[in-house]
Amino acid sequence: MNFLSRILRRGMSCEQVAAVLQQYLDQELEAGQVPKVLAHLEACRDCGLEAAMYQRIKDSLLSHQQTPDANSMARIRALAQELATSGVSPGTE
Amino acid sequence: MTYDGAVSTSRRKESNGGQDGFTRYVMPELDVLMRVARSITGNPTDADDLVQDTLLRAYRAIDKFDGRYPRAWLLTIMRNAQINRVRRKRPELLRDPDTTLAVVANTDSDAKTPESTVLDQTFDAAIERSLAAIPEQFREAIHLVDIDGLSYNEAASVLDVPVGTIMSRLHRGRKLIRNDLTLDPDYDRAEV
Repeated sequence: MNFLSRILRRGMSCEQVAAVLQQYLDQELEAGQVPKVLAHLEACRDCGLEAAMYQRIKDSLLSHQQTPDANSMARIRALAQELATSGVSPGTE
Repeated sequence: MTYDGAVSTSRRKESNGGQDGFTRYVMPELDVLMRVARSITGNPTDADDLVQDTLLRAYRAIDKFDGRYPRAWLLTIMRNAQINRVRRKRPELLRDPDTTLAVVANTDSDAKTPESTVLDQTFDAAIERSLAAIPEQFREAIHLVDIDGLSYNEAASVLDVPVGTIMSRLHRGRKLIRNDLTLDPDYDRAEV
């Protein structure tokens, strides 16, 4: 496979992929573009590694998510439940 | 903030349309509201107060809500509630970024070898250091999207900025973290 056919096969350039990589990883990219980005990441080692690095950063950040304190959640749920079932007019105090 | 009696002192309503809306649109978002409130305020006590304030405001406004994007609607209410709280109190209510990431969740430990656990901890520690070092605006966007799990639109609602600003801050913040990793002496990039 020559250079040109490799480029055509990739569809998107590295610069184009870099411009939308964060949206792709955040699952915010337009659906029609996702297969093109995916195809490029599979064909281009550099971009694939870059995407893997950013994905690992995202995974690490997600591990920082803290479960809300159980007592706090119980209080909040109790208030929400009280509001939801109170029969009080929302617009009045 | 206390809310005992907030409901009982109010006039009873014959129709329960608002209550149905509250159950349908607000109740499923309580966990997200708590997480975001914790990010915004930086401490559990203020987070509790902020969520309570948000729920009461949402309850009062539920009849006017059109049912579209309830999470974004609630996050906008929360943002406005927090602005009022900060105005009433003092700037110190804004979160202290140095203490935000003090606790790291330990997940999926059964699936890891001791070696991979050590490498993950090294990587996570490097990420934590980098996140603490980047500018507040970038850290704020990353916290809302990557840690709290908000969409771009939802994060934009919280910070009252355009979606494009969220994207820009995320991109720049992550790039700083990513570049920082390559300079971190405790982290070997080849292990990624």
